[in-house]
Order: sequence, then C-alpha cells, then structure tokens
Amino acid sequence: MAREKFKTLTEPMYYILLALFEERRGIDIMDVVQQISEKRVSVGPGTLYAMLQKFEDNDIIVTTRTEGRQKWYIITERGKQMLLGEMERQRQMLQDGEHVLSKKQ
Amino acid sequence: MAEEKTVHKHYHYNETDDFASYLEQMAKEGWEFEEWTSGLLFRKAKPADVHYAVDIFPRAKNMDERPEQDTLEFSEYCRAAGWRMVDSKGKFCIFRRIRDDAVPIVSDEERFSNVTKAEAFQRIFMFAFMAVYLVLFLWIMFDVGFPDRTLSKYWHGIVLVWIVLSVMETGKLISFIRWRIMAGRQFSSGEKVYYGNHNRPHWSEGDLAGILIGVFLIALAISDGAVYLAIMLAVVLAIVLIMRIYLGHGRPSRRNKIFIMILITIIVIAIPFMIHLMMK
Repeated sequence: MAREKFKTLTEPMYYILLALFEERRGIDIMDVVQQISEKRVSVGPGTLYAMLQKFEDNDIIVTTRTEGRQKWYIITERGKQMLLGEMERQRQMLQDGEHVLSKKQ
Repeated sequence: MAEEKTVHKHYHYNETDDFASYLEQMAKEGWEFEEWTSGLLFRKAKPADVHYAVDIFPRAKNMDERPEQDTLEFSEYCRAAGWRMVDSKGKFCIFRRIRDDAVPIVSDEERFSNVTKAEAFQRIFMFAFMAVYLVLFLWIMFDVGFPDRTLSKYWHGIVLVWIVLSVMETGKLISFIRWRIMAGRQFSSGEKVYYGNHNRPHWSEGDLAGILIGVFLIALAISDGAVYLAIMLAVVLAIVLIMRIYLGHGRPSRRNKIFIMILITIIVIAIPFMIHLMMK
C-alpha cells in the first residue's frame, strides 16, 4: 500500500527521507535538507509537517521521542528499502539516458 | 484614543489573500492584529509594513475556536522557518513574517489543494444542510396530517426565511464553483492564483441576520396566537446569543466546545417540554 502510494518520490520527499537516516528533530529537517542539497532544495514548514504525518501513517518513519511540542523521527527499515528502490530507479533512468545520448553522438 | 478595536469581518477559506492584504493594510494604518474574539481584535501600534500569511491548516477542524495541539505543533515548524503564528481559528492560521529569508509555508500545489478542499467541504455541507431542512419544513407545512400549518403565518414565515437563506447559500456555492473553475485554469496554465474576491465586502452579517430572523419568527408566532412557541423561540434565541458571545470571548477548546454544543442541544430539545409543563 505504502509502496504503491509512494512509488515515485518527489524531490522534497526524497530529501526528507535522506535527512532521516539519522534521528532528527522535526523542525531541524528543513535546515538539513538545505545542507544536503547545497541549498538547491528548500522544504516549507507546511509541506514538511504534512509529509511527516503521511510518512508516519505509512510506517516509513517513526517517532522516537516527544518533548513538549517537539518530536524526533527516524526512517524505518521499510522507508530505507523504499528510498533505496527510488535511488536504484533514478540510477537506472540516468544510465538509460546516457546510453541513448551516447549512441546519438 | 482607543487602544484596541474589534472588526467584524468574515472571510471564506478561498479568500486568504484578501485576508492577508486586509491585515497588512491595517498594520500600515497602525493597527496590529492580535487575536480572534467575537471578531478580529486589533491593537494600536506604530504604522508598519508587516508581511502576513494566511494559510489553511488541513488537520484543524472547522469548529476550532483556538489553536489545538496539532496547530501549535505546526506553528513550531513555521517559527523555525521564519513565520510566527499570531492566532488560528477553524482551519485559518495567521502568520507574521519574522525573517526576511522565510520560505513559503507550503508549495503552490499544496496551497491550492488545501484551500479548495476546505472551502468545497464548507460550501457543500452548508448547501446540503439548508436543502435538507427546506425539504423538511415544506413537508411539515404541506403534510396532510397538519392542515392547519398550511394556513399558519408562522410556518409561512419559517419557509420564507429558509428559502431566502437557501438562495443565499446556493449563491455562495455557485460563486465558489465559478472561482474554482477559473482558479483551476489559472493553476493549470502556470499563472498565479489569487485567493480572494476583491469585490466582496466581507461583512460578518451572520449574527445580525440571525437576531433579525429570530425576532421576525417570534413576532409571527405572537401574531399567530402561538404563545408557547413565541416563548420557546425567545428562550432559544437568548441561549444561542449567549453561546455565541461565550464562544467568541471564551474561545473554548475543541473538546469543551463539543461538550457545550451537546449540552445546548439537550437544553433546546427540553425547552418545549419545560415551557409546556410550566404553562399547565
């Protein structure tokens, strides 16, 4: 179900999941995404909040602790498999593209 | 000179740009938005160029009188991104920009989706509510078992009022559908969607209309000789008014509001029996 729903990941989804390979406080993810993407991708707080809820509902990430209104999250095994699958898909796309273009040149 | 003032304006969920512009204009004139009470409460301040964002928070409920736990949690994310939440009511969240490099709260796609879903639900729900009761009133009026009601001024009055309200609600639904089609086209072609309707005065006419309708129905009941009914209506109107004032100023939590609504419903249902017993 989750795999079907998140079969392909959008850019913000991809970077949020990458950021959660380490346990992180929800509000810190926005900065981490900017760091990982070298400021190319920025995720708005509304987007991030909605995404975290969806990921958690689908067992892609899990809350590790809560302090007041702050929550910490980490990616689950299922989320890791999904992210690795997406990376493989993109690698394949890149390879196919390079293959076609090299033939043309 | 007054240090604060309350403005009674009402915005629909698809009028967030109008709402933000209004708050910015007030800030320029030296009135800073502080919170929702019975209307929008502004406090006197130095005239300033303030940037507001009015957003729809899908996890909030239409019935929320103040920020609930989810909304407060969401506001922490917004603060970290450069937006301070000033207040929230229903699904509306009002933010003030506190950093020049603040990133937009949601993407254009999400905003369009959040706004249209919230407003569509509101419009369809209200339209269905009005339609169901209109059918019910007409059925009661023309039902063969109650021939006196077809002649009663009171029932004519109720049906007339309800038809007027239903027409107004239908107008709002049609206006929303038109906006949705136009905005959908703009969105698909990559144009910037404006969330608002410059021509609408945004009057908060609901409470005044409610009082006038209540008084009108009481007058009709009296002229119809239905004293029990007139007393009952007057008591219900008073309870509803007290509740409206309390909700505006007390701003109970979602849980307490549900409790209050259930209590009021029980009281309103019990009133006819109580009056009947008292008048015996």
